[in-house]
Amino acid sequence: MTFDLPSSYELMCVIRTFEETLLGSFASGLLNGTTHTCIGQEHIAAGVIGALDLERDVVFSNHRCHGHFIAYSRDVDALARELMGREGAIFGGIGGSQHIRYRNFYTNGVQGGIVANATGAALAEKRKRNGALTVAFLGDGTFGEGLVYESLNLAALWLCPILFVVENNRYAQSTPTETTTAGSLEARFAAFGIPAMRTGSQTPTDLRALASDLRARVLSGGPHALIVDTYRLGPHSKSDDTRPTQELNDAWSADPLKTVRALLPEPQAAAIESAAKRRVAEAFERAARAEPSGLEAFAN
Amino acid sequence: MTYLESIRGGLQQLLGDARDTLIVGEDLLDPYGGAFKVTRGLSTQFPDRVISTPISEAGIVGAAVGAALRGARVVVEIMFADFLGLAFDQIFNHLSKYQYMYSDVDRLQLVIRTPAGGGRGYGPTHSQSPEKYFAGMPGMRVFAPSLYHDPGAMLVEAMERYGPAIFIEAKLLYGRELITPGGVAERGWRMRKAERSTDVVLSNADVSPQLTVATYGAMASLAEEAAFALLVEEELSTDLIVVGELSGASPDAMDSAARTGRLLFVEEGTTPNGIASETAAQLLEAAAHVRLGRIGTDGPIIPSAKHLEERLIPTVDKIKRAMRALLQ
Repeated sequence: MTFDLPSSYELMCVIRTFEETLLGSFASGLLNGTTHTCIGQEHIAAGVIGALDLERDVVFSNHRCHGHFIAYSRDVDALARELMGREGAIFGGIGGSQHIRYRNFYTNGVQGGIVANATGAALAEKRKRNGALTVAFLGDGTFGEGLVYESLNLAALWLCPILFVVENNRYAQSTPTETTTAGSLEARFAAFGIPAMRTGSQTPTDLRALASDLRARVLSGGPHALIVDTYRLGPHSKSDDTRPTQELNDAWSADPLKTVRALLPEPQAAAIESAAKRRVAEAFERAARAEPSGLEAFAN
Repeated sequence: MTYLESIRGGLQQLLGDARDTLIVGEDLLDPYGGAFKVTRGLSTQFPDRVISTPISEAGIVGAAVGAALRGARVVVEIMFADFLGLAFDQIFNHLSKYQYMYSDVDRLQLVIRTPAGGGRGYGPTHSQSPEKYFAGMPGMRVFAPSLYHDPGAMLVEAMERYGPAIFIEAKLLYGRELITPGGVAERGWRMRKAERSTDVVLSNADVSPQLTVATYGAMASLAEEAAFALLVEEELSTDLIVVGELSGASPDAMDSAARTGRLLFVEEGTTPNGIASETAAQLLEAAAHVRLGRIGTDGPIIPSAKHLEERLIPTVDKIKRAMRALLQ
């Protein structure tokens, strides 16, 4: 699959539209439960997943996983149906928004847990000698959990072929990172001898180049980290957002979608946007018309 | 063969298999060979398969879960059952649930082995029997071999058929010889493996039982001694059910109790909401007329001083008294 600015912009638009449609569906009562959208962070999903060998690499994501999932699977239908509990869902709507397994892509909903799972998965892949990379996506807030530090220690000791990708979106739910995270993120990795690269890039092609380079380094030299400074434009979950208006406005004017759009010719960008909107709208319409999933998936 | 040797044999069988099997835990490497020496020799025999880890119970279990998701088979040793608490989230929200939340992920081949129980003067955080906190957890099965079982075979079976599982080893039993049907025949017992469960049933060959005693792990030998003493002293005949799986009720304890009308359940943990509870509840649901007695450790913590510990944990005398009480 080609990876260039237009195709990665399209992916970002699909993710953005999906997430916005989702928030609208909760607001209108079409969906129940909770979800955690990645609005403002789409470039990271596009760039990092774009650097992977999708046949063999393993991805562990977290509660804020839709962008990663769409970049990995390109299966908007399955995700929409998973959230609505319909036939054709990832797994019958049982896992829902934050508990997903799809080929070599895994997520779970308790902060930090998947970091340990990813470390062990990387160890297993290393023993198979098949050149597979394991990626673990974390947030800044995840660093409150002790298990993250245990996992970094194990990954470094065992020379696991794992890339830790930290999406530092400056908030853990309603709490700014400065009030929860003493010291620095890089120093946390350095403490375990894990080289960490940090960037604020919003361009998926840049991020992909960085991630590709890191992939090669990990496979030959052991764990590395990529810290991406970003901002969570949407609420933590559905509508819980108490952040200062000025800060939000400033962040929206630095929306990565705008940044990437500006790099493309206007007609192309517009065409990509309307195609993405149509694709997502149709996926949700099909999902809404599909039968509710049966319990067979759940029968054990 | 001792309890420990049997378990080590089970580990050797798992390691010798073609499938990538790992043993992960603290202080496992030779010459130390584990806190209770169960893994001694294994890192020499299988150098690539035994991983000695930092003191990171949550990390160890979490990594084992991830490896199992990717097809490895993992035995995790948690040095003391008391330390299971450190890994509780990984057991509760990850290991036990992936088989239900994820498509095409059946049982994860992961067994957590851990020594439990008191009697060594190790004190409140090294002597507990915390199995009841995991029995009843959906997705996890809890096994507890006794001297009347084949612990190594039970371990292999737990891994190959019943995982993910917690395997509670009785630390007091490691050096003891396993008990054979021939061995107990001298004391008038007929010993058989149950058909539908991992229970072992001891019954008096000649006399029909007046009560049922259900127990597991290290308590089984105490219960057998108590039952034998009462047979000799008072001609009281007992069905002794040595339970193998602590999750769920014991079908054999239920069958026997329904016939005898009296059930004493002996466990080493504390009795409130304990292992006996599920069997008792299911007997009630079946409207069986059973008088129930329960014995466990009689205090909130297990003191280190031997004479104080002895006052709290079940003894042969306490079991005898409770058995007699059921007959009044």
